[in-house]
Amino acid sequence: MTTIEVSMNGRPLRTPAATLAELLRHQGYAADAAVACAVNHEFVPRAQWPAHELDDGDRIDVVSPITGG
Amino acid sequence: MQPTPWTLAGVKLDSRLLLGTAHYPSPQVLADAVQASGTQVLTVGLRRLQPESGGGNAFWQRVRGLGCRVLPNTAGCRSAGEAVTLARMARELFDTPWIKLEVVGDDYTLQPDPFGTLEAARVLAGEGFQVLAYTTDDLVLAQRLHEAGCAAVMPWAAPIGTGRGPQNLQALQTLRARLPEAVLIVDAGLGKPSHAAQVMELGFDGVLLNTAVAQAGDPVRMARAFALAVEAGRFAFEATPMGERQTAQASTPTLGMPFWHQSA
Repeated sequence: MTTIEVSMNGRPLRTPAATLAELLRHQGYAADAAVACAVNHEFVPRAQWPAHELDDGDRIDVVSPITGG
Repeated sequence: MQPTPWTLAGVKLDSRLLLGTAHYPSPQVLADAVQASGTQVLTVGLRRLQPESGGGNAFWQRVRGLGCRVLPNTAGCRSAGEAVTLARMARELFDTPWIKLEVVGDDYTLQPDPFGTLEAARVLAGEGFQVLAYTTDDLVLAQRLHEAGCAAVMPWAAPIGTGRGPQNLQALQTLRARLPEAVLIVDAGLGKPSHAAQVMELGFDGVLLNTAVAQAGDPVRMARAFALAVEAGRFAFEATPMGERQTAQASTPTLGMPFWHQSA
């Protein structure tokens, strides 16, 4: 199985996921989770998650609502 | 007599108090403070979520239940690029074009980075965001942000979370005088309701608070106190305060004063 090394929210991670949607599913994010994603500091809209292919070394950020001022 | 409604980013609002959602003792106290304040706009943030932590859905559901418009922030961003990306993420997540733009330039004072803020504001306004830009009280920067198409320019009164109140009233007064058409909201540094009344009396369109309410001994009562102060300050501005005088002038008429010109 081909795997790639990425970082997710700052943590290194080896994954077989080919797309952003697969990665989120593998990592346990619920399909309806209130999250937004960026890859390499670029926003990736939810609609593009299934088609967004991951590359070795990608840095993925997954954010969620929190309290704020 | 009702408060005069105002318009923020194309939306008519009655309350001129915008409230943050952080640092409350509990979600229930937050909900009670929101109700006591009468606010119609709540600020929220975005942070990395690890899947095992259960997600931010619970918080988001609670905030949605409060019935207010949501204003996501870009707090903590240190460059225009970071802020633009986070704003795009916020727009999708919260389903709103409203963004409180913050680009921090100094870790100690949390002073906004004027260059990064302006750069991000131009990009975001160009993408259709309603940008509420957190800034210092610098006049030229405020003018540039307004010209960039920001829905509101939000100068600090004092550094975030200090509660020190307006450190430079003259600068705030100048902003109001020089930017009569801009929506100006004082954001950050207010500690007491009198501070809010003070800036509202200058003609600011609103105030944005968080710590002053959330960290008060009784946040719910303080939320109400701030609401009254904001309203009082606005009424005072609309009523045009009297001019100051150098010398005393009796309030009670002197005409008909008994004992006048009588020696004892």
